Amino acid sequence: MFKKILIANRGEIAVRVIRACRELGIKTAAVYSEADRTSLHIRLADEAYSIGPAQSSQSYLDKEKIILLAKEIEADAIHPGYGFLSENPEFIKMLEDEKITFIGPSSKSAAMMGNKIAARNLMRENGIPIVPGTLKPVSSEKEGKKSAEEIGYPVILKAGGGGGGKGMKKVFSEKDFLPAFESASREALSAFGNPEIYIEKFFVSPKHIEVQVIADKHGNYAHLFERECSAQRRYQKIIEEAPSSSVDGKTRTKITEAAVFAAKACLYYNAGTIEFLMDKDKKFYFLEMNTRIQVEHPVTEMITGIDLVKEQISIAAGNRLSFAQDDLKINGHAIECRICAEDFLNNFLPSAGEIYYYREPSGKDIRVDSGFNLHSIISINYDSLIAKQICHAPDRGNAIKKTAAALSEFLVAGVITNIPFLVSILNHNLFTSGSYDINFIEKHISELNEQAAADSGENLDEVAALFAAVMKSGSVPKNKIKTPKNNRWSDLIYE
Amino acid sequence: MNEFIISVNDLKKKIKVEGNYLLFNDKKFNFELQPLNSNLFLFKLGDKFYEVYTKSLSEGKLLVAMKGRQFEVIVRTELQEKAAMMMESAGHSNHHVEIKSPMPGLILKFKKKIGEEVEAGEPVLILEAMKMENELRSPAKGKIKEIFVKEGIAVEKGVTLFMIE
Repeated sequence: MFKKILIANRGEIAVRVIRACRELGIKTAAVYSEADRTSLHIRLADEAYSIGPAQSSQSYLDKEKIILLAKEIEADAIHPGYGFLSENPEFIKMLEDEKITFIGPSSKSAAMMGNKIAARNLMRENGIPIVPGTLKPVSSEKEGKKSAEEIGYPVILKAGGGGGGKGMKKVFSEKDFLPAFESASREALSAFGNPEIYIEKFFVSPKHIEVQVIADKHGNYAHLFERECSAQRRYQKIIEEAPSSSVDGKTRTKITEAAVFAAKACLYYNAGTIEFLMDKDKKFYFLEMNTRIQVEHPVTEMITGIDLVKEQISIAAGNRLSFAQDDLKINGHAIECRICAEDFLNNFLPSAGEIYYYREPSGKDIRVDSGFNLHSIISINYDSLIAKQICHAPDRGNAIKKTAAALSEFLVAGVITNIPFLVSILNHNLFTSGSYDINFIEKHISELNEQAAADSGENLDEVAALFAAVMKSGSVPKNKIKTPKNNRWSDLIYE
Repeated sequence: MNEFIISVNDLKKKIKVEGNYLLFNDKKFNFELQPLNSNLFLFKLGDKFYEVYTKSLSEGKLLVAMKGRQFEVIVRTELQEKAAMMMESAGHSNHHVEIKSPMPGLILKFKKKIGEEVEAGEPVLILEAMKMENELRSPAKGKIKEIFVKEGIAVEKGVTLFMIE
């Protein structure tokens, strides 16, 4: 097993990896940029190294700097988390040459799946259904318009260089094509250093279903069932669950088989995710493969009992999978909510700043993975994820209730969060019935916002106003509680 | 007088504080307030406790956070409210609205030019922050009078971006 792992990431996933390493008895080395001097991961790691300014390109994305550091501190492996360098074949190749273990797939597998256009072609050759669309990058506006015409509007523009919602734009008609194409290319270039765009048919009401796969370096493959991530806004997942209430036994057999087949097609080892769109007739189409740990991996851990990060580390060290496919069963239902620093009442603009006060919910089967704490700073330089709340229950109905109850315990001051918005999603009948699709949030945004603004009936704005009036009135006691004389219970003492 | 006009999210509420009671919307609430430190309070309203974090912000605003919510609240006495209203209408007489940057970010693109008409809610510029492109919309109908920043530059929070007439 490894002696020391360098974690080339930040936020909650860095904390997640540190925890796994600690259980395995492996020393952890965290890295941090100037903007992360108050983040949680550097407080928990055995060692922490400053690697540069806030801009990712000069810190978390600086391959040479990170490799140099790994050599200097004698780290024998690097865990990349998600995002940043996690799916960068060039970085993985550099590590392979330096004989530092990358906790992930080979550079070859990452390259095969990293270019989303090449991946579409690979899947098609292997007989896995793909979303109809272009099989080559679109080189010009004119060519793009022609392809879109052939595919039929609406279409969606996507970045060839990577996924995760960056560089994705919907286009409903020819006149909207150019601005969407320009914006998508810009976002793709800034997110992946590659402006390549391809075009897919835009399905009107599909579900996002993905399958967790895992494989070791000895050719053992397994899947850990599916997750549903249809609750999305601007292609960012907000709530994820496992299993999907829309996947029946027959479909589950087919889709997990296709996923394992896809992993085999790129000679994969490590944990990975195959994403699909599924239509009303339960026909599914390959979207992309993520060759890394996924943000929403905890829901799978909750229903299978497998620690995916520990498994990743063990696989990288050359061990076999710690379980066989037949050992796995779906146990109950799990739901994850992404707590993000964004202002739902102001067009979801990111809300950056210092966390003045913070408390997480707790209780039976409630898990919170977070990257920040009191006085941490949510920086404008990175994504807006503060924490993930994951709840597990025997069935979906109870998982939803537990999730909403736990969210009501969260306390965050300093940045505006999407917590009230999450609650309004959980309360919506399309979510509770399970019939929601990937356009659910955007279609019902004003209704959801209205509910969120009223705290789903709790009207905290009124409480805030009443509190402010008391503060202004000067009736704030210096240190002693102000006990009202008319309290009907004040003369009673319970023993 | 312990009567206040409270603005939360652009809605105004009239609240009266009387001893241990709050009067609001013809309802009477019993309250208690227990400071835990200079920013943290236990605020009991009726039979329920709220854990409230508060902090004074610039321009007389008060940050009030509880549970998953955070509000910027303005508290004024009736007299202060009248004065503020007068100032505001005087400000409105020259019909200018300045739009400030709501967060630090990079100005990617202006969708409107000086002199162009915009509707309320229409996107005016794209600001990149947290790896996403964010559309900033016009808060009012009018004409773009002036643009104070250039495409491609980074701006801090609160920088005036453009003016609508």
